[in-house]
Parts: sequence; C-alpha cells; structure tokens
Amino acid sequence: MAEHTVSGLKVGLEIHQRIGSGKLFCRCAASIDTKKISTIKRLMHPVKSEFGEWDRSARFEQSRDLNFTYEIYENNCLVELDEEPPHELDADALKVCLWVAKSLNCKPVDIVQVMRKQVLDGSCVSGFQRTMLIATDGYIETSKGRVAIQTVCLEEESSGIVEKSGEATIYRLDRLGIPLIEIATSPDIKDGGQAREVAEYLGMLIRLTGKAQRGIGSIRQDVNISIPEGARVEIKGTQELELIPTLVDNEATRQHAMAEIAKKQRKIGGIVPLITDVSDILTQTACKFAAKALAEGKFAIAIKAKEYAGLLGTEIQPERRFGTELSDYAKFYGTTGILHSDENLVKYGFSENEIAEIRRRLDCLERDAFILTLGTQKNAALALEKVVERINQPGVLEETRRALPNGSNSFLRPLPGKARLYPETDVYPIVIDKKTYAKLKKLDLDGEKAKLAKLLSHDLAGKIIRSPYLQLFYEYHKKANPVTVATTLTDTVVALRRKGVQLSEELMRAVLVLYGEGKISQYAIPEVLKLALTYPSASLEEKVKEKGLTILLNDELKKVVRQNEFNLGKIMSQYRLRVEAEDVKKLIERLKN
Amino acid sequence: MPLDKVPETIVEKDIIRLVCGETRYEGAFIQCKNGAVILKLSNGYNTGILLSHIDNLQLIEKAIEHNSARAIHPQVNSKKNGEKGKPAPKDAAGNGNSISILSSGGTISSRVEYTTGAVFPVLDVDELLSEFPEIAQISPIRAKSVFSILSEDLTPKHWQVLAEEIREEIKSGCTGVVILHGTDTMHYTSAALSFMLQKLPVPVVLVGAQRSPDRGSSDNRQNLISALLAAKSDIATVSLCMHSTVNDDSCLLHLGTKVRKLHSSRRDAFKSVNRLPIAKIFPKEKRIEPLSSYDKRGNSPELEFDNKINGNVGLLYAHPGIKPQLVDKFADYDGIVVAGTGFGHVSTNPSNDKLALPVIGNLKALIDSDVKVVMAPQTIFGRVNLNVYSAGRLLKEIGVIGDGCDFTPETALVKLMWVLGHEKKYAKVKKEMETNIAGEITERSLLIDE
Repeated sequence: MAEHTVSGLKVGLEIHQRIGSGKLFCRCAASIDTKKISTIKRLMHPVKSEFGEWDRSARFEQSRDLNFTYEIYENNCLVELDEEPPHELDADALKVCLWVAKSLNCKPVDIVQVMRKQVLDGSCVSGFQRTMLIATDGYIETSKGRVAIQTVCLEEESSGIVEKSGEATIYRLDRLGIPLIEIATSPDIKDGGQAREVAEYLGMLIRLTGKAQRGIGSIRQDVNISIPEGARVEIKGTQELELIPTLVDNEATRQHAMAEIAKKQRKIGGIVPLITDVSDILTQTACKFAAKALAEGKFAIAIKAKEYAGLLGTEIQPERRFGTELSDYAKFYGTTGILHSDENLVKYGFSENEIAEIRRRLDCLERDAFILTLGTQKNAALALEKVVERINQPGVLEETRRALPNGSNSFLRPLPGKARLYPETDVYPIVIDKKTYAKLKKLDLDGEKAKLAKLLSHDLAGKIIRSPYLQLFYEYHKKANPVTVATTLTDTVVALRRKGVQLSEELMRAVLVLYGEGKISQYAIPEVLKLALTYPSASLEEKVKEKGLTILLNDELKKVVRQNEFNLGKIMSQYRLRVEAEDVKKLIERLKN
Repeated sequence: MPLDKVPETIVEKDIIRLVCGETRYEGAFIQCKNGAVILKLSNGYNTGILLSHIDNLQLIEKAIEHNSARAIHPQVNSKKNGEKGKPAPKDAAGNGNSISILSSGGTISSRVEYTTGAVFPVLDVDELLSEFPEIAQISPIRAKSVFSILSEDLTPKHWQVLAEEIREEIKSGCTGVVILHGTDTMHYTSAALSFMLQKLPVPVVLVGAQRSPDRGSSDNRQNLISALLAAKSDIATVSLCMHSTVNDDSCLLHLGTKVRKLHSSRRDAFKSVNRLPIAKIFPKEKRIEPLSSYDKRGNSPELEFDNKINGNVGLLYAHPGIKPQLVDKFADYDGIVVAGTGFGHVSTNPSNDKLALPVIGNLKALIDSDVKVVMAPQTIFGRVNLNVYSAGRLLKEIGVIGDGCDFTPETALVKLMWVLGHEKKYAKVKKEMETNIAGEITERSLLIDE
C-alpha cells in the first residue's frame, strides 16, 4: 500500500464538530436526549440548481421516492420543521467559530452571508442546510510540515436517520439545527498518519473552547482522497481517529485497483443493458433469500457481462470486490444488491444446474460473467440499469462514500456539484467586527499541556488533552485526586468502550461525584461505572451500598485493619475495591504506634 | 490605497480577484452594496468584502452568457399587463377545454435567482409544465400573468381587474380558473371575487405557497396540483386551496368568504372560519372528499358579474385605551368596519368610570355624518351579538350594522366596499350587509372541531 502514498496521494480533511450552545437559528436547546413528541410526513422534490439545471446529486436522488417521516422532539420548534423562517444567528456559536478560526491563523471575511446548501436526501426538512463562510486562508503546523486551512464555516447539523426502508425514510429532528464548525484543510496532507495528526489537532483545538459538544456523533471527519489516476472521493462519517490511516490507505488501494480494472474494461468495451427475467429458472431453488423474494412476487433478473469473467471478483479493498462496489449501486435503488458469477453462488444455495441454466439463457460463454438481482420489477430493473451505467463508466468516479468499520468504504452518492449553494435571504448578512477579532486570544494547546503537566504525568496530560472529556476533567479535578479523575476519563473509559460498554457523560459525572465526595475508592470506579450502566434509573449511591462497594472509613476501616493483623497485602487483596491503599498504610502506621 | 468604488466595466458574474493585504478572494462579482463587494467564491459561498479593505481589484474573466440564461434572467411573460381584456391563448387543441392559470404574483409564482438570492416572478406555461410535470396528467392549461406584485400591494382596483380577467377566461370557455396569489392578502381577494363573481359556471380557485419554491420542501407543488384538481371538479364557487396540516398529504378547499390566514408562516396557515371547508383534496390519489355542501358546476349557466367597488372604507381595531380622536379620523370615509372586542364591543362606559375613554360618542358622530359603521368580531371565530351586554345594546341603538353576523373583519371590510360600490342609503346598506350574499354569513353556529 505504501506505493500509493508516494505516488501523488492527496488528502484533505473536513472536520465537523457540534457546538453545544443553543441551536444556530432558533432558541431550542442543542441537547440530543429529549423526548419525542410527534411526527410529521413530508415530500421532497428535486429543484433546479442556480443555472436552471438539475444538480447531478439532486438528479440522482430524483429517481427515488422522496417520502419522509420526521420525528419531532421537545427541542424542536417550527424553525426545524420548516414552518417558520430562521431566527437570528446564535451569537455564541459565531463567537466560538471566530475563536477557532483565529487559532488556525485564518482571516475572517468582512461580511458573512448565510447560504442555503441544497440537500435532498431528506436529512434537512427544508431541503437545504444553512451554512456560512466565516474565515479563510489559515494554516497549522504538523510533524510533516504545514497544512493550509482553506475555510472555517459555521453550519446547521442535519437530522439523524432512524430507519430507511424502501419507500420511506424516518429522521429524528432533535439534532437538526445544532451549530457545527466545519474546518476544511487543503489537500496538502501526504499520508494517513498526517491526516490523523491533523484531525486530532483540530479536534483538540475546538474542545479547548469548552463549547464542543461531546458524545457519539458530535465530531465527524470527512476525508477527501485522490490519487493521480483516480478522482476526488469524499469519505464520510469517520468517528474514530485511529481508523483514518487505514481509511486513507484502503481508498488509495481502491482507486488504484479501479484504475487497473478500467484499463482492462477499456479493452473489453462496455456491456449492453439487456435485462432478462430468470425467475422461472429459480422456482425450485434451495437459495433461501431467492426463494423468499420470489414467493413475495419479486423477480430475479439478470444481465450478461460480456468478457467480464474474473473482473467482477477482483479485490479492490479488504473484504470488497468490484462486484461489491456494483452491489452498492443496486442497493441504493432499493434492491438487496447483486450476485454475480465470479462469486461462489453455490454457497448461497443455488444449484450448479440453476447457474448453468442462467448462463445458457444469457448466452454466456466461459469468458462472460452474469449479474443477477432480486426485487420488484421496477426496482430490480432500475438497479441493474444503474449497475450497467456504473460499469460503462470505467475508473474512479467523484463520489461521496461511507467509511466502514474495517477501514474500507462503500458508495453513498455522487459528489454534489458546486452549484448547490445560494443565499439564505431570510437572514440579514452579518458584519464581522475586526477589532473584536483582533483582540481574540488564540487557543493555546501547548500552554494547556504545560498547565496539565503540573497536575498530571506527561503521558496522562497528553491523554486527557486528546480526550473528548477534557472539560469534564476541569470540572472535577479540584474535587478529587486529579490523577484518578484523568485516568477514569481516559484509560478506564477507553478500556470499557473497547469491551463494548458505552458510557454517557451523565453516568461518568454521577460516578465522579461519588468519588469526589469520598464515598467510593478509586479502585471501585470501574465497577461502579458498570453498576451505573446496569441500573440507570436507580439511585447509584443506594446500589453502591447494596453491592458492598462503599469505601471503608474510620471505625470500619480500623476494624478491618485489626482483624487482618495490620497486614496491608491481606487487607488489599480482600478489600481492594473498598479502600484507598494510602489511607490503609497511614492507618496501619498510626495504629501500630 | 483602498478601493472607493467598483469600476463600471465590472458587471454581474464577471470573475474578479480582490487583493486585501495578504488575502486574495476570487469569484463571481454579484454587486457592490453598502460599501462592500459581494462575491460568489469558487467554493460556492457568497461573502462580502468591504471596499475599504480592498487594495486592488483585478478582472480575471468577463462574464459569458450562460447557456441557460433564461433561468437566470427570465423574461417575464410578455402578456403581462398587456392586451387587457383579451383571454389567454387557447390550449394547443384550441377547444377551450383547459384550466386557466392567472398569476397575480406571490411566492407560488416566484423563482429565485440563485447567485444573488433575488426573487423574481415568472409564469409561463412551458416553465410551469417543466416545473410541475404532474399538471399534464390533470388537464391542459393556459397561463397568463395579470400582475406580478406582492399581495400586500394589491388594492381593490386590482381585484376589479382580476375579476374582469376571470370573466374573460370563463367567456372563452375554460374548465376552471386557478389564481396564483401571494398569501398575505389572499383571503381579501377571495372574498372580493366571491362578491364580484356570483353564480359561477366554473370553479375559481385561489392558491398560494408559504415556502419558497427554491426549496425541495416547498408546499407550492401540492397546493398547485390540488388547486388544479379543484378547478377541474364540480365545485363552482370561489375557493381558496392550501395545505390542510403541516403534513404533505392533503389540502383543504375553503370558501372564499369564510377563510382567513391565521398563521404567519405555517403551511396550514389558512383556516375556515365558522364553517367547514368545502372539501379535502388528496393530490397523490387525485381524490376530492367533500366536507360540506357547495354550488355545483352546471347549476348556473350565466355568470353574474359585478365588480363595482368603493375603496373608501377603513378598518378600525378596537383595543383598551383606544383614543376617541382616532375614531374621528374616519370622518372622510364612506364606511368603516370596527373589529370589536368579544361580541363586537368598543368602550361605551355606561358606568361613567373616570379613567374610561368611551368612543361611542365618536362613532355616533360618524354615523350621523353618514359614515356606515359595521361591527365584526376581532375574535375571528364566533358571531357578533349586540344584545347581550349594555355596550352592544348601546352600539346597536346608535346604528352600528352587523348584529348577528359571523363574518371575519376582513370579509366584512371587503363586503362593505362592494356594497358601498352600489348603495349609499343606510337602510339598504344595513340590509345588504346583514344578508348573506356569498356564504359570508351563516345562520347556524355549528360545533366545529379541528
């Protein structure tokens, strides 16, 4: 993979971080754990772009059913429902954005014009997302050189998807309208490692403002990747910094592989979209999903891919083949994806006879492949049409793709064209006060590290400053042992997360309060965290008592020390979770003397 | 040296570069406004740069006429305001079997110029069909722009012109008429047309949009399609068609005299007042579900047309502490509608309270000088009743018109203008105002729940 990183790999990053003040254009809370109160149903229509043309991304969505259900939450008002024009811009969000821009050495614009960015996937109720350019032309220094910051924008968060099933998509509106800072770098980044470093730095910087929202989805990294023989591809939705290097490498590999496949494709030529119904061949099939689909009245349709045998099975990324890539397109149009003859179809339960019969029906020679899909007549035909369309455009396309957990990625939609931004006429342009900007003090990561190093070890200071819970540390570090607080918010939380335990901030607070009040020992923290997770609604203190995790103090501790004959090792092995070693040591000394 | 102005040779969409110290901005020039250059940057964002910050302006590339310039600088239909009295051209078949779409302006007939965000009116059959291809499945259409103004700029004179245009369309044999209208005063126009166009042989449907057409979520499509279905139906009356709820599933068809805009922004802003809507329309299913009785197509072969109107009528909104002198200001009017509190009250002060500011004397002076005074409820819903409280009885005694009427203040205003366009005598005006003409007064107050 390393060869791609040296041969003109270009990587740019876009960081989106939610700001936890209020919503950007109404006075609803930016919280995301409020109660659902109602639902509404809406339709979305494709609209023409500014040049009177259908935007290619809009056009792409146009061939789909655009029915949406929106779940309305307590922190929604008519603004998010697109039933009222926006209110004034949230001043705090703008302030934070300017502060970050200044810290990135950017130049603010004189007059901010709020824009509407067309979004037709339904995630914005209005059909657009409000966004504005705040500053441009900055830079940061990294271990591998300077990376330019192209733009700092402030925009509205879109709504969260609840369910996507065939005809209708359900979105929840609680997070719609929360301010997002968007920082875009130039494609100066040379490899995945540097991309990770930049992402981490930008995240840390925004968190230093103390206004960054925490929790799942509150920060997202979009990675733009291209290699000379490829095209610009935007990979959305990376939440794990650790994944960025793999993601970059895998995408470079994919683009390289697709370019290689394209060379062969150009020799072979395109394929003809001649669709054949093969449902009758599969009436007795042992393949369960095919039998089920056919029983539901769906169709099995196939096309011949002349001279494509072997190509469809070419690996383009870990666990993904050219066929998988094509399958993404089919899925986008509401089918279950595609099957092809480079796969082991017998594994799915198809018989050799059925496969041979399909080949016969399609006039497939040995060097030919076939592609099969199952779905309603309309969807299946549309899906195969799109698959053929993709095959007949060899090479890497400009696309928006989705990061997968293993660091590979899958097709999401075509890259939106540039014509999607136009002025939001309901909000008056905002003049940036340059004097106030000049007076803003830059966020100082090094200074912050130095401050933390006085309280913590170098290693732990580094961990907490990288952690999303830096502000939580500042809230509790004076009320308890700062080392324990920092360790809890970093190592303990990470260890639990790796075991699949997701802790809410509220829960962490509850446990840190008990620790701060001296009711539990530092050793009991991981156990109490798990306890809090198991009994979320119970009184944590009661549960701690019930489970015998309360710290031993005074007479109780004295009793234990005496019973164990002043043997620290014995006491610790028996009461590890209920005592602080230092206290026991001191008490032993005192009682002995 | 900072720039003091943009050279006149620089025109919209020229690609320019602004040098501001170390920073460069490159993009399409949009305009120079309030001492700032507005630029569309190559990343799509518009931004403003103060002239005082620009050291140098360089022209990079002259604007070229874009191949779809029509969408950017659309030509307003050449038929606009011209050829007065002539009907819109017949549909291609030439058989008159089409729905006439007349535009008076407003959000529903507007388009956005995407670079600057400016809104402009447009109405052209081709454009309508390209924007709303579903229209073709409903009926052939023809379209004409009568005005292209904001609905708050409309006057009674505009209603007269519109009524004439509709008459011409009906004469030329259309299936129905749809009027694209700004929503602010759409219910005033619907009331005016209801009085001016009686015994309609075909439906006349007013329709608007609450959300701009640039957005994928605009209510324009559902409203227009529903209005066309209504125009094709057998509901031969003046009606107003808008969203029934905040969901995009159905529209309500309201009677022109019994409807009011009751929300400044919601798509279901219009509600029927003191009666059920005429029908519910499901555009997807192309289904019309009647909710109350209506005048049927074919029952009245001959249109009764009367667009005489007297615009010298005012509307006075009663409130605590209203100054008696304000009432005197209406002396030059031929009539006023008082939007009274509760059952239709103003301060009469029968208990002789020292702090009270009764206006009944001033109203009486108006009536004595032959200004017709009509009471309507500012509660919007409910009926005027001048018999329950002493204030009402006193108002009735001095000659206030409208006791027992359940029209909205807006409908009462329009009706008074129309009545005064024909009558001057108090007794006749009183009788006409208190008699139902176009569904504006109902006899029974029904229990209507949302």
